[in-house]
Amino acid sequence: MSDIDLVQLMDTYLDGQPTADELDALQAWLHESDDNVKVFVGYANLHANLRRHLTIQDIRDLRTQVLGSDNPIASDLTEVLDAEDQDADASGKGPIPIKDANRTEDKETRPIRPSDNHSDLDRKNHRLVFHAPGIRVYRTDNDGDHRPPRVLAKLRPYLVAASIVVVFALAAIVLTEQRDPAAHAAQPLAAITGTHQAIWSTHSHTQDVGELLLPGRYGLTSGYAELLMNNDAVVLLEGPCEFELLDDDAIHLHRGRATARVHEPADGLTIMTPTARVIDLGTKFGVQVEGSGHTLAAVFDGHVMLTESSGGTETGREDSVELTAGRQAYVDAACRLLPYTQPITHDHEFTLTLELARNTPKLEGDIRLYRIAPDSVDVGDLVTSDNAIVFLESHGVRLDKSLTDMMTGPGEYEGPSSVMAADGIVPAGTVVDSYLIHYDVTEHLDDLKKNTTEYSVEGAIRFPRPVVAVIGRPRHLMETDAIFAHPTTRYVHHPADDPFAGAAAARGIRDAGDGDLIEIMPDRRTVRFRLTVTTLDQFRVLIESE
Amino acid sequence: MVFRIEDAEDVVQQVAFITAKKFSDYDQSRPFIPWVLGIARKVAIDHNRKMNSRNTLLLDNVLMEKILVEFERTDKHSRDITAALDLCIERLTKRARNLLNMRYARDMQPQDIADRLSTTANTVSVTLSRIRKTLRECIDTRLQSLEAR
Repeated sequence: MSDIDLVQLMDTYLDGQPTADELDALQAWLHESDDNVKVFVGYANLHANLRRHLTIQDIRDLRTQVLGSDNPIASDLTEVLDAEDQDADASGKGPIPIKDANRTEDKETRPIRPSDNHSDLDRKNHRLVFHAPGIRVYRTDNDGDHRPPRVLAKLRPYLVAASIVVVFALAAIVLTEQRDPAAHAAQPLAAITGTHQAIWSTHSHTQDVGELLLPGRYGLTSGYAELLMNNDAVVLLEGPCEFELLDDDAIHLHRGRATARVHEPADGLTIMTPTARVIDLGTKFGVQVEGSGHTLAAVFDGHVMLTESSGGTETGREDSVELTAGRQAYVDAACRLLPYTQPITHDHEFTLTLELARNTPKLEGDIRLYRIAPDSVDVGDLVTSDNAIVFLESHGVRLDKSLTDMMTGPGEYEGPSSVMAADGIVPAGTVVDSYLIHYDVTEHLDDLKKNTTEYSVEGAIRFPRPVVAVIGRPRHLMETDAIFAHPTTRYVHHPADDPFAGAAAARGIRDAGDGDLIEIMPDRRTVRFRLTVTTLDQFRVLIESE
Repeated sequence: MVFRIEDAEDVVQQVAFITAKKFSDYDQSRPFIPWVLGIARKVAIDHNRKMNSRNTLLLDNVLMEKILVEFERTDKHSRDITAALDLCIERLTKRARNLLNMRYARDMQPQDIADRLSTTANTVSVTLSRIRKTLRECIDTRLQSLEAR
């Protein structure tokens, strides 16, 4: 039995949730040695201390947030709490009494209640008084006598022992009520916590959000499904893919693409593939398996170990590489680790979160999605001769002032006259996400001087939410850079005497007719474009933010 | 459900009350634990009967006595353990502290927590176990360093 299994067994018992088999296992283990009993008692103490510590802290917070410090009830409660602290500090001393302005002549010792008129607080305080063995708050009938009744003080060690016995006895008694044959069946290894346009393959049946997945093989034809593994790791699977849940912390990805996020306090996650084993070492990472079995592992945060592996069997001679953030590496179809790592490309295919999946635009034609914002979109820095690129610049931006003369409504904006005539307004207060579309063919300064070769791309982008406006005029692009620019990306800005000034000025849909076209389609989500350039073209699309 | 802390507390009080009431009957020449164990068993069984249960499965007496002896031994270090726990809780992530708060301060069962967090009870239980293991190791480390001084 592993350490964590053992801890869980003890916790299950102490939480009152064990099956009879678990009780048997625990008893057998406890009988093995006195050291095991010590460990168990340590955990039992931890449970009791946690309850005490956190309950008191919770009541303090409640008092502060709800009652305020001037409230007399709060004052009573503070006294109880402070007394409790003193009690904890005064190890081995008797219970701490609480002054009670409304005390009666009753000679019996009984638990204190702050007020009979405040049932919630009564209950809360009552729970505080009795919450765990060893918490002792009494009131007495004698102003000068703040010690506990003599008999109870004498009995204290015995009462504490009795309390402990009863807690254990109660735990054991109810165990037989929990004998459940189903407990022996396979346990779920993960839960589906979210999907986006997910279509499951026929043998997997339909899987909805909230469903628990048992060990076994599943297929996602298209779309995304996010799983929360039992070890707290989050795995986002992208269709088409085939995967198999192996254990609380292990998945076999037969084909397709998966990304994982493993945070403290979750332990590591292992993703097996037909040719490799990817072991998380505290990180965000992606794994892609192509049809041939070729495995790509990419690390976005933290680090992972990528190891050759064939069907899970290991000989001890397998090569491994530890990948750090921003790097990726391959294991080929013959289970050979390629002896180098590479930086992750900006247009990598991994989608790290379901939120990003929902926000990913669909592309058609000569355009590619950059999931990592480029370092620069200045003239000549990101040459994309064969296609344009689009990337998310910013999201959730609330406009301080209105944007005027924008392309806002559905329609075709072709040539300078229609672009210049656009008069749409985006009112202040609108919250938008911003995408920049960039197309640059300026490989050399000579290109600028020659200025003869024309390049053209066309395509369409379907955004996840309605388009608010398209910004295409160079001046408007320049003015809105300050609002929407990605914080780590360098934008086009050149003084008039700079060799690139002309290209910078021409970054948008230019004033001179050049065959550029932008069309906001009637669905208000799709933007069709044709860009014809000798240097650089850019435009910005604002869409409604979530 | 007798495992609810409120029910357990009721029974603990009852045992304490009966122990105090019958203390004069206690033969101090004989071990205390088996005596109080007998009371505890009766109270627990009565309680269970009230809860419409006929089952009386208990940890065996040998184990109970060992556990009680160990409890008494560790009680001497309760102050140090409490202080260490305070420090160790502070070192947890915010998420881990939130989970502990839900479990202990709010007395939520793993299933309730799972419903709140849109996850599974098993996930919650496993995560709580990992947190407790971390705390236990942290407390042990601190206690060892105290002993070394």
